[in-house]
This record gives sequence, C-alpha cells and structure tokens, in this order.
Amino acid sequence: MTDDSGWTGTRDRTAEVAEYLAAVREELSDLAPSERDDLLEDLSAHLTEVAAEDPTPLRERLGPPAGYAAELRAATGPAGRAAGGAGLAARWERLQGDLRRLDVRTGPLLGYPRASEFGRLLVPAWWVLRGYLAAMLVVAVLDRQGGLGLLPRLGGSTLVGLVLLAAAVAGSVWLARRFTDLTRWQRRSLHLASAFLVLFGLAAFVDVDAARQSGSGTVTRYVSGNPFEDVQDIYVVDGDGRLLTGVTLLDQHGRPLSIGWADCAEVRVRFGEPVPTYPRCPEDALPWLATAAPDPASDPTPTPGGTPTPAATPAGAPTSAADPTPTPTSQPAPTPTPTSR
Amino acid sequence: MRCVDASQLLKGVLDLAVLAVLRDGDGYGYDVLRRLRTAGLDEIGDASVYGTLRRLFQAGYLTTYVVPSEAGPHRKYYALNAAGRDQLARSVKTWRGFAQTMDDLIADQGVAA
Repeated sequence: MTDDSGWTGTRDRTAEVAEYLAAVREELSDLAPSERDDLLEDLSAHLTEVAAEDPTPLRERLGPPAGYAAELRAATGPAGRAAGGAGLAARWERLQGDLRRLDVRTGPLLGYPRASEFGRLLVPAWWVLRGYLAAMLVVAVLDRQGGLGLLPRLGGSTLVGLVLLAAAVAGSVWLARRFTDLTRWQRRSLHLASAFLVLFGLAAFVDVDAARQSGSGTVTRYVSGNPFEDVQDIYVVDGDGRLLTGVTLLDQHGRPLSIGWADCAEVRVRFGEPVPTYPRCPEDALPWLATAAPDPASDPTPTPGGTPTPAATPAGAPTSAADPTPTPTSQPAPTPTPTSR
Repeated sequence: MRCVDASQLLKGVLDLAVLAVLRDGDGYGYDVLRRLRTAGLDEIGDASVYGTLRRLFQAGYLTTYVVPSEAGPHRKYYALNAAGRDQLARSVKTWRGFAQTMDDLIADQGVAA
C-alpha cells in the first residue's frame, strides 16, 4: 500500500482494514499459528481491495468479524490446512486419497474393514521388535569379538545379553506408550532412530543369513574332500606313451584300488571283491592315446623288436595250420600284467 | 416455508463456481465476487470467495500475479492453470450428473404428487 496517494480516505480505511483483520484473527485464535497465518496471508490485501471498491464500512459490508471468520473457516475446509508448495500439496492429497482407497480395498482380504486396522494390531509387535533390534545394535557396537548371532551376547555371556534384551524391549514399549507426551523434536528423533534400527536390522539379517549359507557350504566341501571325486577312468601309459590295458592298480599293501565310476567297466573278481582293471573303458580312450598306442596284435612290426612276430607262427605250427592259438606270446613283453582281453 | 437454504447448496459448489468464473478470465478477489453476484449468486459471501480462492491456490489449481493499480492498492489476480482446468472439467462432469439425477428425482416427485 505504498502507491495509494491518489486514493481518498486512505488512512482511515487502512486503520479500518487493520482493525477488521485483527478481529478476524482473534476469532481464529484456536488454529495453530502457522495455519492461521497461512489462512490470513492475503486477507489484508484482499480487505484493502474490498475497501477500495466499496465506500461502505467493512463491518457493514462484510458483517461482523466473527461471522466472516466462520465463513472463512467453512470455505477453506480441510484442504486449506495442507501447507507447503501448491502443486506438491495437491499431489500429496491425491496420494493420500489413493492410499485410503487401497486401505479399504485390501482390508477385506485380511478380514478387516481396513488394512490399517490389521496393521494397528501389529504395532505392539513392532515395539518389541524395535527393542530387540536396539539390544542387537548395542551388542554390535560394544562386543566386537564375536560375530553377531541371533541372541544378544555381551562379553560371551548370554545372560547379560538377555537382561539387556529385556531392558531394551521394556524401554521400547515404554517409549511408545509415552509417545504423546514427547515433544515434537523427541518424536522426530525417535522416528529417526527407529528408521536407523530398521536399516541396521535388515543389514544384520542379511549378514547372519550369508554367514549361515557359507557355513553350510564349508561342511559340504569337508564331506566331499576326495580329490579323485571327478575321476571317471584311469589310463596307464608306458614309457613310450603307449596305452596299457587290463591294468590292475594296487596300493602299498597289495590291496587293489578302485577309482572311478565308469559304468562300462568289466569287473574281475579277485580276493572276493570286484576289482576293476584299467582303463575301464578302453574304447573311450583319449583320441591321442589311441593313436599313440597301436594294437600290438595287428601290427606285424611293433616297436619292441624282441617279441616274436606273427610271421613266425605258421612255421611253428606246421601240423595244425588251422589253429591260430599257439601264438600267445604275441603280447608286448613290457606289459607288467599281460592279461589279454 | 423455506425448505432449502441457497447458501447451504452453494457451499458444495463454490469451487466449481469460482473455477468457472476464472475460466472466463483472470480476476482478483473482489472482482471474482462481483462476477459471481452478477451471475446470480447473490447469497455468496466475501469470506467464502476469499477462502475458496486460497484453498484452490494451495491445492495447485490456480496461479497468481500482482497488478499495481493507480487508483488503489495492488490487486492480486488469480488465473486457472492446467491442473485447475482439469479440476474444472471433472467438477463440471460431477455437477451435470448430480443435477440430472436431482432433476429426474424432482420430476418423479412432481408426478407422484
């Protein structure tokens, strides 16, 4: 109201506006100061506008301040109490409406008129949980030697831990019951602390869970510690890189070793136990081994030159030419257990 | 006997009335009141208009700007924004449905009586 010089009766009307405004403000004294200021923010300017348009005294033009205040209260309604940014306030209200509808809609699924009524029943359970989390946090801070378990343990003592747990739960419930007596700042810090406890609880939960997971993993490795676990078959190769077949493996006491689990194995019985000969599956031998180990029986000129060649056979058996059996020595000599298949 | 108080009816549609007035052109508080009264809403009070403008502004439906006046105080103009126009469209729809229902109802009553 700085440029109202050309306006007649300014001073009187300004005083009148101020007086009327003060009276309306007085009528709204039951509202919170911030709420009332919000409501009356523009009223001074508005009343000045009205006074400028109409020479009638405000009390006559607008009625008594009490009536004006009542009308203002009615017109502003609950929406007028939404403080903060305009667009944000509208969005917030819409969100609240959506949540209320969701609340009512999901309630019957739980057997309650509203989901929040079911949630309210769980609130005391949250107080207890919050006490437990607080106790665990104290343990995590004070007791650094042992990893966090599921029960609070202080200095290795479960008893001390349980006393702490009881005290924390009682304290949490007590705080919750006294919540309405707390100041705004105390409430805010309680909410903050609770949120922190939830975060801590989630982190600790994941931690304990992971520890259990890796723990059981170690046990599994311990049980299946056999280094030959994945050995399926054994190929014995001589100094020249040739594959030996029909081999039996013995330990230092002469006991046959049974390694591998190829299902094609042909099992010989010795000492009353099935003893495998290796390779269990010669036909599955590695390709490079197969080529490096020519079959001595079919090759007329095998590397070990001292072995009798099949060519000698007909000469050694002139009487029974049809019988090829007297050539058992055609097996290569270096084979330790020359048991042909 | 006065059965229905017009000011009671007005309370429910004040938002719609103010939004509709502002659709025709931006206005300051007193101007909005005058236009509503010119339109025939004599019962409307100044505080109702002021309060409604405040509420609609806080709900995000209106924008404001101040225009200096040579002959008087600054005037705070209110204007519809996009959200306000949406809200107006919704309110009009609701009102039309409601008015239709009431019309039908009253017509039935008239026949019955």
